[in-house]
Amino acid sequence: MNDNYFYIVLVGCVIVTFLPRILPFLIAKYIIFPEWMTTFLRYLPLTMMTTLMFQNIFVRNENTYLVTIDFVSLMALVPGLMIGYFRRSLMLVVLSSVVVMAVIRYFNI
Amino acid sequence: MFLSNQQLTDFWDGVKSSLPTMLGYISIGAAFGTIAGAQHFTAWQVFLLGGVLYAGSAQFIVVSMLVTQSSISNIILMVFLVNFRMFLQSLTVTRVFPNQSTLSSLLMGSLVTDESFGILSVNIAADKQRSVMWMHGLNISSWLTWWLSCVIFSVVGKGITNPAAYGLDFALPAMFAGLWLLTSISMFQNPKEDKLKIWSIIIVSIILLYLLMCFFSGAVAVLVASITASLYGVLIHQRSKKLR
Repeated sequence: MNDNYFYIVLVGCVIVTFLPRILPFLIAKYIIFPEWMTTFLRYLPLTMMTTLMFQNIFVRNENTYLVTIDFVSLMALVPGLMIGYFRRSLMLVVLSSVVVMAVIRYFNI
Repeated sequence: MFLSNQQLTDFWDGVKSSLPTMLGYISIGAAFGTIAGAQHFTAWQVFLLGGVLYAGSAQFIVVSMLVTQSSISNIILMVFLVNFRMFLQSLTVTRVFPNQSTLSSLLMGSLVTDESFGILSVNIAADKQRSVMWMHGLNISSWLTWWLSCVIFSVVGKGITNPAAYGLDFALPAMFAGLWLLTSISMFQNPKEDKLKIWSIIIVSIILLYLLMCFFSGAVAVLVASITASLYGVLIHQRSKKLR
């Protein structure tokens, strides 16, 4: 691969990634958020975590554009989520889900 | 730079809070390093992508588009779209830590990720106060883990068997599931929030995501669905205030 090509793409990508990340910090001191914006930002963590989680559960077929549910992944998450619910531990959710998935794949369930 | 003991303790607490996300970073960083290495990217290039661009899923997109010789403008536009949710996440973070120096806020802004934002979300939803140094500890340990994993596996990746065989690639979905669970639980337990309202916001998010994924890529669907569902939250919040 041409070095120039790589570095131009890298610099461009860094700029469009870095600017949106730091812009809010630079302008936050100078603007007063309206009340609806505060409410919006209060719900954003919930909606973003919900969509990021379910993005891994929904699978799009690139030919038919139909979105289906990945039931194997969903089932593999259930034990971890139940343990996480009772123990309130992120680490336990991750570890138990990985183990369940490894078992599912090992036995080809 | 001089740090007080309290600041060091907070920083270290932040490092500890990042531990549950480590397995996700290491396994996905390993996948990235292995793929990039197999496509003949050098360790230096992988370091630049992992350590300087530091953009998770967007890195996979950049590598695959570079390999297929896509146009420069197409790659940059795609990365912009995929990463634009960081703007909203940073905006939320500025509300949590309004008083900090410019240098400190630049450092915080450039290192916020889905994962560290998720850990912060769990704390915000529970109304738990966290310090600026805690956030730096969380961000910096995440950043180090990510790029180290990317670089190391770009060199040694080829010799290692497929991580999917051990379910390790599942660490990432599992981590987001856990972050979603804990954020939701904290919202439900917050006495200021109405449980029915929270349920409806979660369900609206899922339905919107499903519909949008029929037409757009996952990253764009996540962005539009989370914005729309949060606006829906604003709408029902204002309506319930009027009724009172």
